[in-house]
Amino acid sequence: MPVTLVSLDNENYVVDKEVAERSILIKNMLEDVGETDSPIPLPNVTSTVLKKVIEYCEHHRNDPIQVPDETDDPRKRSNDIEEWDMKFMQVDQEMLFEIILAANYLDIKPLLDVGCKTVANIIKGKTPEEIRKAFNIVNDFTPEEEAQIRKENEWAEDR
Amino acid sequence: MIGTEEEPPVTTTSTAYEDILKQIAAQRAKLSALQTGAQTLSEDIVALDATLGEEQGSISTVFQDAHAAVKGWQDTWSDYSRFEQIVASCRPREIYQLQNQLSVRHGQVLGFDLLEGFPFLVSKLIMMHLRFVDLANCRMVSRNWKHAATAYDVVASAVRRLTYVTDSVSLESVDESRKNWNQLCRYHERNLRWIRGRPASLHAMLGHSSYVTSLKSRGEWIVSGGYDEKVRLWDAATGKCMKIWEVDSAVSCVELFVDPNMDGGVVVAAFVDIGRFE
Repeated sequence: MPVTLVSLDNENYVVDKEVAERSILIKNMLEDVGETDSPIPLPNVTSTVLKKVIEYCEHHRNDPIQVPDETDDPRKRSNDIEEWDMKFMQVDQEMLFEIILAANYLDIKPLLDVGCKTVANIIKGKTPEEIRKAFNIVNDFTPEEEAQIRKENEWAEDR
Repeated sequence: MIGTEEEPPVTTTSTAYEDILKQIAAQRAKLSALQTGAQTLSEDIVALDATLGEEQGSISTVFQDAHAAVKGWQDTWSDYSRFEQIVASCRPREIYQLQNQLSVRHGQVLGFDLLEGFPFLVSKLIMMHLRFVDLANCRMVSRNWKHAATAYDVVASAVRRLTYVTDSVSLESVDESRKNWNQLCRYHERNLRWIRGRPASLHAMLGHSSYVTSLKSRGEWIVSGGYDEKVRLWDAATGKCMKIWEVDSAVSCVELFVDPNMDGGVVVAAFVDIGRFE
């Protein structure tokens, strides 16, 4: 049975129930409401982002649903991103940001995970100054604070 | 004689008359001088008036300029506060779009602070994918980033990741105190660095003036000897030369024994020329 999702800008998207239920939020909603034809409003997601999220859910419709306990231990968590997911995540920073926010809101754990990994990969191996440049961040430490953190971090510096 | 008698009076009269005439002429001259003076004065006054008028004109121009400048500042300020209002009411995505539009005009591409827009939970999820060294870098980026990178579960995650690599520390001991984690991580980093041959610090130990033939590192100490006929003892942590022995012969090899329980040790050196050792 198909489900209709309505984006922030009132675009309707009809998807299979099993695709929509990749989102735990929607899954819980459907369980609460029961069988229904009425469209589900998603007031936090714009149509461009929702399209992208649906694309992800369509591709992963047959994946086993992750048991939350499994992801809790980072030792068992792999740092690799699947090839398809990697391609899927090749978007600009804005879209990446929006996808992560949407995944968090819609409660799609694997998508949130992939998004976070992608951001983490941008951060990895960068110096603080390079991170600031990549994300256009202003250094708001006082010189004293900066000196203090530098001292705490001495052991981590690669020379 | 009357005539002649009269002459003098005439003369006198004429003299008097002439005197008067002279006086009148003098007075006239004075008057004309005065008039000229007055004329010059009035001309001066006119000139002064003119300059004054000009000055006034320029002063009013200055006033106008200043006024315009103040107006300009006010405009800029109102522009700025309007801009502030716009930015304050923007969501991070919209700021990004603003930036995009600006960058199209200025040909510069800027990112935006993702962490600023994410819920703290998401920021932490990102940080949880990072190694301890990357977290240390994140801590230096900004206050917000430091906050996320020092969060309890982020640090715990980084530590658990380490234990996966070394697999020698049980997870139970991890939750005791954060200070221990830091030590654990430092220890781990040091080992990793050792394996990769990437030192955290390099010291140039200057001193020997000829070939160094022998070098031993024992605990906190390094001992070295060479063809300059000197044996040197170094502090391994700082790279400073702590002691020099003049041995009067080229050194072929050295050895150092340090007793960790006692405050002492033995330095042994052997020499090239006569096969003696001290």
